[in-house]
Amino acid sequence: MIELNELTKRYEDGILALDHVSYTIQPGEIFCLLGANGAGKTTTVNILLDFIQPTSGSAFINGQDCNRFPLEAKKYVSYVSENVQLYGMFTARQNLRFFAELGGKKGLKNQELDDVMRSVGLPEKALTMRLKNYSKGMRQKLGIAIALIKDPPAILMDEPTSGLDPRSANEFLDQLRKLRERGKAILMTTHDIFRAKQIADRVGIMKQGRLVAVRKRDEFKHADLEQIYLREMEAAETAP
Amino acid sequence: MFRTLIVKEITETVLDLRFAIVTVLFLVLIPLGMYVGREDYERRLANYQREHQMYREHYGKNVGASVEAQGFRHPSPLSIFASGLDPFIPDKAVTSRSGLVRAVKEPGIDNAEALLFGKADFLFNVSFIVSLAALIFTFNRISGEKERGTLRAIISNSVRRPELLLAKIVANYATLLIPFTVALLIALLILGTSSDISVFSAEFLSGLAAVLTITFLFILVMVCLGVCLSTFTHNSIASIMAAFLVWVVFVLGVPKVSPMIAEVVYPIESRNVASLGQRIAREQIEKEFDQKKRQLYDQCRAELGLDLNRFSSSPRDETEKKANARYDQEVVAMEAECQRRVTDAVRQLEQNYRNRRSIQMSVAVNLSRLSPASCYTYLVASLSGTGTAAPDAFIRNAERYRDQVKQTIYDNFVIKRYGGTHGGTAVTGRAIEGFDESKASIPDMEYQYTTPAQALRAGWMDAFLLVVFAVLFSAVAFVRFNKYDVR
Repeated sequence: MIELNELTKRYEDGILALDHVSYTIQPGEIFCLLGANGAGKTTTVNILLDFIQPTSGSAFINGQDCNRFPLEAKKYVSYVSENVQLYGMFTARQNLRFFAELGGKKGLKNQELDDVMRSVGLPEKALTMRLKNYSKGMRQKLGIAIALIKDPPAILMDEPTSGLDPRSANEFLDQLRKLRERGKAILMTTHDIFRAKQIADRVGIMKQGRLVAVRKRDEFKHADLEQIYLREMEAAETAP
Repeated sequence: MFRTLIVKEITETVLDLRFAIVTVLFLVLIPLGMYVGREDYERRLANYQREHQMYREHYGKNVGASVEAQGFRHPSPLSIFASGLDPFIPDKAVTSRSGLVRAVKEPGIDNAEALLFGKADFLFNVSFIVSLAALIFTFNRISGEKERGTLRAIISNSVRRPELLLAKIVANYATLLIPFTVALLIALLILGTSSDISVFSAEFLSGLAAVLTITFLFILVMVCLGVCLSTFTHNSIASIMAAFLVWVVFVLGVPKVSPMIAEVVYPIESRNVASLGQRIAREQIEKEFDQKKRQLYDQCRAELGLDLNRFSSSPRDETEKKANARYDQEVVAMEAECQRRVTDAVRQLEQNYRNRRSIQMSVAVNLSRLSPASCYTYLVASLSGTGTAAPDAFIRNAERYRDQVKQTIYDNFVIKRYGGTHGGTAVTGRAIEGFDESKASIPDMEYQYTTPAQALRAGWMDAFLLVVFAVLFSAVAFVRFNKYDVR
């Protein structure tokens, strides 16, 4: 479970990146954060991973305070970035083993590592290939494999479908569905309204650090999510 | 976790092109440097042995009262590691009856190119090449990971930042030591093939152990420095520029500028000027006493009614013999006084010069200690017997040799000078009773280099500073990395 309570972040230069944001993501739920650049999506992820400290408020992963006990909180979360950047000179297997061990999964056999990579759709020849020869889609899949092998209750994804071709993006969404079925609480930030509509159980719309709206799947399943998004953004602009 | 980070770091470093380049560089330069050092030592040793033998054969026997004895300095076996000041340390000490000892450095022994560009010995290879390699290994260990985005991926796990940084220091240090140790073993094998160097002698082994310990410590300092610098930058280009700049300052700038600053801040005269001053002081005192002795001689002759203008180099009658005998009796105290004043004056001038030179050197040394490369150089050169203390060590050896020659030769001859104020001097010299001139020979100078233990005791400050540098760079790196923006 991921929980944000009145989370606020003001940077040193005075910019208010997050303004009293609160929401909870339950196990087995995919929560997509939509918003323009600078809306505060990545700042949220950065606070959850203790890359930066909040100005006020708190964030929890699986009940652990992310900023007071970050090492404890990070035991229960995996992170998939916009560009999964791993070690180019290592093979996929070496990369996966390294991050698995960082995630507390030690002594895994090659077979176990290969099974996880196969399960995310990496072709057989890619398992022992060096990462420098990987396409972006393949790297994103390996990023999912890293998240899977750690098997945490929560997963953070920062623009994971950005730059993926349609086929790779669809395969990626399939993987997300599997993770949801396994009860993971998933926070995904994205610009991609189309993909968000396909996968999200709830969407949060952010503007200038504020969470201006949260819509459940039922509310946008048969509606135009883009229109909802634009409407909420306009409303936020006119709001006092 | 720590083991995982170390294994990853070592694997990443070994797979890097930098590792291959550094390995080739080490495998070529370090054994080559040792080979050149060995050849150089063997040549110097052969020169020493040849000169020493020729001197003994032609001048060592049938010594006279005023012989100028020559004592030769043999090269230090440990100078293979650092030639240091060796090209400038005198090769021999020449004694004289007056009590002065002269240091002689024969020109043309070292080839000019070697002096102009500096010898690529072990010290050079470590302080220049290995230090640069250490920075090349580590300059972007943090900033590079941030640039690639892998730092974010690592820190998103339950990884303590100090643990990650420590793993980087340990792994890079260990990885750098692999090619260095292999190159070193090859270099030591090359040394072992020399018939002139007893590699397994206790003296050589203790020196080698001390040099290697200090070298490993210095490499650790440079690795810590590289990792530290990588926490100040956020991309590889900025890191390499910072690393190169710091390397230039530490390895080239500070050591070379410090003596120049010391010369400006505390100027002193040259050794030649100081020696000339001592010589003039000695001659003035001797001249003064010579006049007094002549007056005494006149007095002794006048009291016995002898004509002062009729001086003869040998006594012509009993009255002149009596005058000479009386003079011999009374001049002893005067000569002793003269000798005492000469010794005091020369010693004081020498001490003044040494004190001023010591202050200037201390300014230079302390300034240059801002650089770990200087601390390392002082220590290794000192352990090799070619450090900043080597010229003073030579003087100590030369003075000891002078005393030895005085005891075995000069003190066994009596020289008497007769002469009044009206001109003319008669000099007589003869061996004291029981001393056989024909069997006398010039003693050898038993040159004693500083032992490794003595060098370490004298250079404890440099060793301590190297430890301080390692701790300081690591501490700064830890502080910086704890606040490092990994986004």
